[in-house]
Amino acid sequence: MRAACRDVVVSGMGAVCALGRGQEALWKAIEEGRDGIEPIRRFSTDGFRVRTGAVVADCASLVTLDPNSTERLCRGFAEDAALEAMRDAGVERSGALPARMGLVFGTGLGGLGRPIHLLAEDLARRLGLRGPCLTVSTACSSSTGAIGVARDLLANDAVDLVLAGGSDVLSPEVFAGFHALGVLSPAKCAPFSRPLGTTMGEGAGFVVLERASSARERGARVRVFVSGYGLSGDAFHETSPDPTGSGVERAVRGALADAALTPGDIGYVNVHGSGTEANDPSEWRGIQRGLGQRALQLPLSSTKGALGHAQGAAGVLEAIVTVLAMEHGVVPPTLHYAGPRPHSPADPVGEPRPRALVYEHALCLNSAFGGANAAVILSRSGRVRGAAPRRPVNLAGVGLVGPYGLGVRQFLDAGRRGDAAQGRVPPFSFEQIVPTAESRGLDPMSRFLTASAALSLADAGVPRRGRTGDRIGLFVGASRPSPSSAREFRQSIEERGLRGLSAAAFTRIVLNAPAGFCSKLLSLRGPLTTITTGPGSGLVAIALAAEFLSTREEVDWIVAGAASEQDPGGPGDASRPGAEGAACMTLGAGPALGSGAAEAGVRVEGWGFAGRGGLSDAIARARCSPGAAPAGAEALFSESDWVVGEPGSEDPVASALACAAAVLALQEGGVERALVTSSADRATTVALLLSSRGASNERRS
Amino acid sequence: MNAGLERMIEQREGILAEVRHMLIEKLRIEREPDEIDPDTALFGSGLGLDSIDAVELLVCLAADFDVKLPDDTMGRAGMRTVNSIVDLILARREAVLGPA
Amino acid sequence: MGLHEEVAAIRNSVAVSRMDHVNALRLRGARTYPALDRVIAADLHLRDGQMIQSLILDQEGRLFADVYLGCDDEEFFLLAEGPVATDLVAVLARQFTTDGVEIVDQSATHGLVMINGPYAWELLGLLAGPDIVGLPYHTFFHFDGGIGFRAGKTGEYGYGLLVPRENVDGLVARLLELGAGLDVAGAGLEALDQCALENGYLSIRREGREPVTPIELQLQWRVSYRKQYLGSEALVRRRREGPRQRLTYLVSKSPLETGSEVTLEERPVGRIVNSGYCALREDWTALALLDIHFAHPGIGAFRTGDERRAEVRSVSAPLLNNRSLHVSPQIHSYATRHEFVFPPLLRP
Repeated sequence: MRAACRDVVVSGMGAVCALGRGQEALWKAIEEGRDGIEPIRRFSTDGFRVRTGAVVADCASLVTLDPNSTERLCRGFAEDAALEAMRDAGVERSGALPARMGLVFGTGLGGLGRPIHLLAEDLARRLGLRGPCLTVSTACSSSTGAIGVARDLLANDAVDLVLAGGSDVLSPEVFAGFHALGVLSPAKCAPFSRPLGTTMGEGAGFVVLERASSARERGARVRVFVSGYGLSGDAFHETSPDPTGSGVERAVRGALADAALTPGDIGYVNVHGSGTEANDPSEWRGIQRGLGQRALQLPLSSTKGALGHAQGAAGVLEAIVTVLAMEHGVVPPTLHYAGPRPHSPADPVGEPRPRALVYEHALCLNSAFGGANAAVILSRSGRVRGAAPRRPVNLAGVGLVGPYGLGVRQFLDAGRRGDAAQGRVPPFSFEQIVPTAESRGLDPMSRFLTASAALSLADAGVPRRGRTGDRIGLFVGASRPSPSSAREFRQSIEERGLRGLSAAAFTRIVLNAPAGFCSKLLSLRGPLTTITTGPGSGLVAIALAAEFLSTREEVDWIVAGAASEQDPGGPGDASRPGAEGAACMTLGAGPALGSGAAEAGVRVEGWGFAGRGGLSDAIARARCSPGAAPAGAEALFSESDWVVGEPGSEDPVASALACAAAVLALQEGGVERALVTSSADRATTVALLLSSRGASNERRS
Repeated sequence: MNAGLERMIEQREGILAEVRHMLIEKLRIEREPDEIDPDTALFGSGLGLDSIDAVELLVCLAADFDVKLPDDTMGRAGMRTVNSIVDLILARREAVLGPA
Repeated sequence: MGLHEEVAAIRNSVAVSRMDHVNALRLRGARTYPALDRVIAADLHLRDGQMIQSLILDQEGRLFADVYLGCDDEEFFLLAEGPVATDLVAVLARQFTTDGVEIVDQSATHGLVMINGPYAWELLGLLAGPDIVGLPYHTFFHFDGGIGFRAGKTGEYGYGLLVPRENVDGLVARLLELGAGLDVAGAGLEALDQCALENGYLSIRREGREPVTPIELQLQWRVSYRKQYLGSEALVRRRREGPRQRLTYLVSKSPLETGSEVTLEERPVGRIVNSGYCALREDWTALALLDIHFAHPGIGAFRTGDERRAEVRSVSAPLLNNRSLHVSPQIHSYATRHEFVFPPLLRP
């Protein structure tokens, strides 16, 4: 695997939010200390105690349970912001090849209708981006995570230029959901102050990322450097953050380590600061734990008082505000600040206008339901650090749950094609697999994922006691949220109205919900994310996990794979029967370890990403490792061998099953090298090169 | 045995059964009805419901039993145990229909 | 300080209590979890850093110990009320014969101090720093000196501190000193038991001594019917037969005495097994094991005492509207308590 080049810059930005359309409008509003919070007129808020939100001006009305209108807005915001970012970066003049331009999109709920990966794919097509196209969906930290993934794609040399950001809409369902959870402020969102609560918002933002060298070569304006990022999971609760802040702490430390910076280097923190009773104090505690004494000397502010809580777009919009602030030599204020609530930062910049301050590095944080925390560090100038060495990555365990039953043996016995993957998962005793877990309220998709993750950890012989979980992450690929949770959500609205919707079901329709549950039940507190490319998501998650693991010291293992739940179909459901179940691999860093299954450890030799139709490029990149043995006989394992259902099926698990089959073949010794690939027509094509211990063990540089 | 007392006990048993059913079906408590003792606490210890369950409980009480509680700590104060929910429902029915 | 002042401190501010009647054990060994699974009555759904409240039964399904079990990295700790340490260790050792579990009896080397009250979190914060204030219920943390956890049997915020025995006196003194601004008081076992009675928490020393199972004592939430463990067979049998009695909460203006018979329409229907005076309600409060048919709140026709004349009413637990329900560390503090309007402690 090539060394990771991590000198990445932002060369263009675009934004649409309640403060206006375009960077200029956004910055003018921030400079003037304005907020975009007003009574919501786009849909009826009759019967709700809270009536305000931060909506984008002049948009069409929205109808409850009408996904088309919500998706139209989501797409519209995203296009406007993306076009602005591309213009700002001068992409047309860059000469970058379309196949080398990618898109990483972040959204919480998209249009609440079609599978959300389609939004990114439509956008990529519209913009002429033909490189890897994927979506990060971790609710309120989605676009922060998207920036991180985009950075990794550049480090991996999968792209020369990548658009990263996100879009979300303040729909009636989202408004009602947050209202039901009791987290909305009766007044305007006042982070770290009173009254308690947040104000929902919406919008879209994008940044154009490229390598510093390429930006310089083409004379592009460098806005800021993306020095590093970190991810973590709270493993605590579906909606409440870990009150001790240890999750935020881990994300902060991960970002600092990735950026090779110390707390003393940070000059400003743009916090998640949603203003809710649960978030603010625990986030402040996490920042103190992550930055130590430095936290008490720093200005921290939350942008949510100005543009509301833009959900999946919050991270990128707040990062854009931070970049603009850095360029203007100020820190943005925390609006509506009328004195501190208990356990607040020392300096929340509780002023009406930005404060003059020059600083070199800014830390941007976001936290989300399900405990997914993300941190990004932005820097005014880059230090040439040279390429980061990579650690060897191995694949130590496999865990499978499917119509064939549970476990590797059942999977192998069911044979390769079709039979292995048709039908429903038979009933199984969750307690036997995870005896310590309280499984009340888990939907089937969460159960499958958790069981398969537990099986893969056991197969890898990874001890899960105590604090080892801090160093174990979870990367999940998925296509749709659990259909039973989605139905429960919809039905609660149909039967009881928006005012009576099921708050519990609302928390389960975010794509990251199963990962959140799994991380909680198995105490996996390392990096946590859920990505989607629709079909093929599993292999993308596995390859991203390998990329992440290969350059990080603070993580030892990542469980990566995919999960899905079949929709039995109900009135009006246009779903097709397809596979259900989950497939997880446990990836570890270091020389190939003996796994629980056999003596042979499986080494991940290389991985590559490309856009639709670029599978051969992905394969070439996966094979391209200095010092690798010349390409010998590689057994081929393709996602298409495991896909069930009709073409167009949304199966995210098949690609992970292909990987599982490859690992098993390597462990059994019948094969020494295996190439696992996604189907050629996926929005992101992936290739993973695996070898058994017989292959070269030299340290890669 | 006093007929009034018998009627009252029967009424209470009936509502207890309905509340147990709601806890099992709507709040996904994984217990049989007879495992749910009447004075079992709902939040914290006992059934271990959390803040999201509290929201669901308020909605179910309003929708299925016509008991409207405020969704703040005052509402929580009324929902301490299974029996306290039965008390609320009984009181609501008496208010509507007159004492049994 | 009198009993009622101690209870008042628990109900209004914070009280410090030495818990010498609680025995601490530490358990280690690779097979500790499955071994405990066969002794502790609840499904052991707990992860590192979490605690669970349950029971150890005897072969007849009656209560032997009231326990907290905590999962601490590779080990477990057990805090038990009821049996003396040697009996507890003997029972566990007998159950663990084939498991190679090491039982470390800490009853002589460690002591437990608890603080309870609507502002107990504030006192804990003064002692252990602001990080601790967000500690979730039934979780614990390590601090320089011991283990701190959030649990309690009073219905107020409660925290325990398990420290080496030689540090207990110093810790109590420090808490009383730090809590001066919180009107902290010391509270003894009787005050704790009265609060437990008022809030519906088991007292292993009182009703826990009755020859009945968790079913009669309304403790099924603490036991599992999905696995086999010490006493589970007897419990399942009792459940199948159907219990004949159930613990019921009673209040009266007349004194209620443990051991007294309870009658309904001249017929004996049960016996009082725990009682105490609640100064807040100005009522006598009691727990009685009653004929299950009549074991419901809202019956005012019970009688007890001499010549069966004292009027007794059955009620739903808890017997008061705990202040802690309405106090949030994010909003309130003891010093500013008068700036807020709290609902009254007595339920209408």
